[in-house]
Amino acid sequence: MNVQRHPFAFLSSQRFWLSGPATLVVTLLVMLAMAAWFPPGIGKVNNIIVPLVMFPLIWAVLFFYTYLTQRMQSAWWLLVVLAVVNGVILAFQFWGK
Amino acid sequence: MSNLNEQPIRSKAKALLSLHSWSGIVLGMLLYAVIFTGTVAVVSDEVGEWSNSNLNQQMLATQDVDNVLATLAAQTDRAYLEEISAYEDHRQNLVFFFHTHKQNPSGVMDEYGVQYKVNGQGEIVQQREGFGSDIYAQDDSYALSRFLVSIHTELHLPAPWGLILTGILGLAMLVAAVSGFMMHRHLFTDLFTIRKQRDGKPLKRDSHTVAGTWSIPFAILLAFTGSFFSFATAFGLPAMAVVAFGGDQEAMMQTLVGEQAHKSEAPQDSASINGMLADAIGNQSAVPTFIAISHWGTESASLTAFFMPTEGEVGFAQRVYDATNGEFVEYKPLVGTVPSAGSAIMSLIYPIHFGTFAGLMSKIIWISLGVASCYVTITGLQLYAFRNEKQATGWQWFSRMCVWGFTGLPLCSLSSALGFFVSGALQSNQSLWTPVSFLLAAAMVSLITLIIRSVRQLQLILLVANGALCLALPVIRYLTSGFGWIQAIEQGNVALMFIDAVLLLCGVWCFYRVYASNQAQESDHTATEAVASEHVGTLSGAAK
Repeated sequence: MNVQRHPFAFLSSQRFWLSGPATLVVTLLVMLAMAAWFPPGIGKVNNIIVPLVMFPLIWAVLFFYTYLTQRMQSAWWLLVVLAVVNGVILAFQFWGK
Repeated sequence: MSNLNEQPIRSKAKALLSLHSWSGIVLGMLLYAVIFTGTVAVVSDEVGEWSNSNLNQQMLATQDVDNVLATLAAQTDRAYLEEISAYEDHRQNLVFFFHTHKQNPSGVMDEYGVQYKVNGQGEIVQQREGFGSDIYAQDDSYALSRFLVSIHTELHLPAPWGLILTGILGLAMLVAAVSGFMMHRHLFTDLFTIRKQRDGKPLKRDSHTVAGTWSIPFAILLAFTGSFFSFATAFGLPAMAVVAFGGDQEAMMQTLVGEQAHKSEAPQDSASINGMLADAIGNQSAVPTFIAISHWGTESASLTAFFMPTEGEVGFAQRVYDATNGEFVEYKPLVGTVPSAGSAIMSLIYPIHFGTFAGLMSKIIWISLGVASCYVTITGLQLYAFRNEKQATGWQWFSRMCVWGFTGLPLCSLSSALGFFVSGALQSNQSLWTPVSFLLAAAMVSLITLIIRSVRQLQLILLVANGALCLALPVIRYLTSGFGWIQAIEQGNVALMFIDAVLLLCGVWCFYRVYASNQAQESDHTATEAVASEHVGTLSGAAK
């Protein structure tokens, strides 16, 4: 029997929040923090260009992992660790000098 | 966070199918708009030449640039001599833009100065002062190509929202392509297998799978590079400036462009531009697409000549000259001052996204794969509509919307070209009438979609209109310009003949589709009648 689901039922899905907003925010944090820790190279442009290019790739890898994994807990932990590490790098970049 | 809807163990295949379907369904129509106009944007230069019935005259090689520059500089405010860019437009004029840099009303760093258009006889045919972005937006010679490219890049939404939306569409395309790839159980079989339905027609799902499988690598590359361009422009670069340069966007741009922050403005005669151009042309065996002369007439003067990829090369080339003595200094990387990984990546991303790495041939391949991607989007949404129509009768609106979007967008784009030619012939503002024609056509298509009850009939009418415009546009182009195929062959104007030929081919295809659809319906009728008469015969036989 076909059960009619509420159109906004996805909002109560843990996976929606994990693969959607959480993945996007963590990807942004990783991209921004890369500008601080990625070696700029002799041309001093690698730390600007590489994070920008990596942004869609990092997002896609995190998105598919969080969407397909059976172990949601591990996926949450991975995102939290990435967010904390990159957040600390950014905080140091702005206020640590 | 507790979740009652989440099953403990999900089927990976089902999850991928669900992801593939929803990424296409939710953003499918917009994705189609971006892919379709992206396919056109691959040949935007050719569309520009075609719409003006023009062949590039290589004026930077044939004109006395020194003389024209000296005349123009003498009548220009000294502040605008900071930088001079020069290129040939689509109407056989050399365009010189004397400018400085300042923030425009939107708060974005922009070029500001005076633009002169100079014809082959050295006469100024147009002069405009203002921000570079405004002047370009009002340039009639680029009205059609600019309008079509702008749908692709930002869907004509205000900045930065249009770029953010196209960036999201790029990610949706990436999700659809990667999930489509991961779903395959037999990748190589899926490249060639189209099974038949009971009525002998190809199975809809197989057509979608075959086209999708062939275009997967292309779709992944284009989605990745496209979302990079959108996000980098919309918020990536400003965000990087905040982190790496403490918010100083100008310092970041100087690092990326590779320009010294402080230049000497002490006067010094500059070397001959013609001489530097001749050297650049001789060494590259090509004429530069544009040149940029910085701090002309000072001891910091330099000239950069920018070249599109030449035969055997993948990336662009930039030759830098010391304009005080005319000597070649270096090949400048696309980004920064010295070769770097970042610059190499950027040099690759541009040709990959625009398909410019092997001239018209790579563009034709990119167009073909773009058409395949359009087909995948169309058949994907049609499959969804077909499946839902079978389950519930209230889903016909979705099929109607598919016809409205898939057949309507090409019609509106063709109408914008019609508006461009007609307004040009009437000496009206082409930059205005090109988008207005698109909007008028969109309103007309929407009205017809609401009025006509049969979805099939709606599709046929829109196909006929598309076909008629495809066949008419080369004729209208000829009538408004007087430039025919004989002249095009004599001059070797490949771009013009290519666009004309593509349009004629598309026109014939549209009418063939209408004919084939009518034939199919007739044979369906005949088959139904045969079954009915056979049924009646059986019944009457039984009655006897």
